Amino acid sequence: MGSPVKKIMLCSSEKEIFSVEEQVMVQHSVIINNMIEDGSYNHEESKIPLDCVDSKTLKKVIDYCTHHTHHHNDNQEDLEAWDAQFLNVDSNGLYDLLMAANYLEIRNLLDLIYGTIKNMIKGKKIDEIRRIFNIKDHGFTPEEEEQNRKEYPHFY
Amino acid sequence: MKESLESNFMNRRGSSCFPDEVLERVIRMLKSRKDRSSVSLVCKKWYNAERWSRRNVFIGNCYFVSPEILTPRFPNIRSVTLKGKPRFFDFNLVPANWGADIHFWLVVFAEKYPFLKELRLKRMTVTDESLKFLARSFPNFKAISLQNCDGFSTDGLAAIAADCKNLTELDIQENVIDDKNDNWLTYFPESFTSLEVLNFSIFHNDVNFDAIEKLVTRCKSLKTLKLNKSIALEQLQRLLFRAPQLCELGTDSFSQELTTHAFSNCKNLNTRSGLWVVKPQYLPVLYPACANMTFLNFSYAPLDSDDIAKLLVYCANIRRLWVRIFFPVSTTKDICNMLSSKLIHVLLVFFVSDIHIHTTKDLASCTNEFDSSCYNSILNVKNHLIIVYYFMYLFFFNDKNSYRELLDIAEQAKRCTEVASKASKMVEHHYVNASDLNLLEAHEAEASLAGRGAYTLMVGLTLIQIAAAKGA
Repeated sequence: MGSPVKKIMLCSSEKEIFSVEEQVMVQHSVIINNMIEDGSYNHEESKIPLDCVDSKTLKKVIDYCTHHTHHHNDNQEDLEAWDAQFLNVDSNGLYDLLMAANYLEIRNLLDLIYGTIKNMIKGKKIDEIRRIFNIKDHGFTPEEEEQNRKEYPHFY
Repeated sequence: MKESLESNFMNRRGSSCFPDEVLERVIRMLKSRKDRSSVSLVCKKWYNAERWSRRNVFIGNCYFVSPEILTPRFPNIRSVTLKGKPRFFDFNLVPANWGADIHFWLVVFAEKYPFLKELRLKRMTVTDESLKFLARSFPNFKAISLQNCDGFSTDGLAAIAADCKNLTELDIQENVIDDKNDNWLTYFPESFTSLEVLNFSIFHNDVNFDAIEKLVTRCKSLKTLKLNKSIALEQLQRLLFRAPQLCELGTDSFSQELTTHAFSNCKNLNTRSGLWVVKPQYLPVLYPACANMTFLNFSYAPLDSDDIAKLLVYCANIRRLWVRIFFPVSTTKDICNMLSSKLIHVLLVFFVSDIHIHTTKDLASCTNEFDSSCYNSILNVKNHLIIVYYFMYLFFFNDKNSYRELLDIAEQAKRCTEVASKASKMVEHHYVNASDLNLLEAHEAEASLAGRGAYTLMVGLTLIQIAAAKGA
């Protein structure tokens, strides 16, 4: 057996500690990679505080990174199927994942979520988009909104 | 997941706001103009994210909007498509100096869009001065497409060749230009190797073959090559030998002997177009190259259904086929029947164009025949087939047509358009069921009129346009 797998500690907003293979997080998260590289993470004492990521979300993020580290040689179809299953979460879950991936700068997870959000917009009417994304205040003046609706009725 | 998402996204956070960079990234993934337009009308924040993330803009009529309105709204544009004169320009029915000059747009772009990469112009007036200005003003310029444009000469093209160091696309299809300098192609510097698309089909001037051959030889990324009639087939053969990586090939005529292995060098060739003048007996030369073909554009090739049928036998991977229908419609029926039995995924575009009709009776019989027999046989073609109609009715009248006849024609034109609109509905229906098709060409139902004695026909023109609009 070689040297033991190096681990790092991640701390969720509920102060729960997650121990993860360093390689897994370094490979996926730009932020964590930078911390390890510039030496600001001390393996003896440090934990990385992630105050804006709750335990449930952090666990999912770690799942994602772990799977993609260990299965990156799988065929594309299997990976896509896994990703689809992984993103089978409710809207709040998706939003939390998005914010976590954004904060940790996990680019492939971000792209995956962007794609999912894009598909929620694609081909939809404006009223539908507003409902899906819960946009109540559109910020247009009543006159602008009326004008837009008059000019582009088929978009609404 | 869909249902749960549709409830309310991000409600828990009490905020309907994505971080700006997230919103911009998502919007950037939306490619269709319609989705982009929807996004910009959702709310002020999305409107702004959309305008900042917008890289390309399509302007269907250069008089709909001015550059002074365009540039403040979209500050980061890299690619502009602009259309100018009406379609009648193609038939010399638009007076000289009508307008649609690109120059003042370019002056504004040079100041506001210094990173402009791509310019696509259709029926615009483009002078040599404009082309020279363009070549000087945009250091990252990559792609130029001029279709049915006028006002420039080979001098302007020489300036593009000499100064656009990173050019990847030069598309000068269908332009009639002054030939001041037949060596304009030699202005590409020796170090220039970036060209990926070279299209001068339906380009009326002669081109220097040596220069073409040198260019093709050193541009190893050349994927699309469309030639005009000045390139003989024997020369084509030499070009194919120089560029085995070609994916898309267009030729003007195809009526001389070619050795049967002419295409065997080109393993990647997947699109074939042109063949304006083609003798069917030479088509077998194409057979070996057909296995990889995904798109055959024979919309201008005078081939009958037998020739096409023989060729299609070799086209196992075809996804799109454009053919031109000649009346009588048996051609259409034959091809449809054959496609039905081939179980291939085809996007079939029927061009119904350039039909020369002299009397209302001709038109009536055409539309009737088309309506009942042709339409039904098209409907019978299944297998993930998408059919796109492209109606371009060109009516050539005699001066003696009476007003009464014109009314009849207008009525007939309306009926043609109704067939087209039925077909469009069918397209939508098929599109829903054909998720594996990666291409859907726009369909267009258009009834336009050109003719001798145009003045006396203006009444008829308006009627037909109105009738067509109603039908569509």
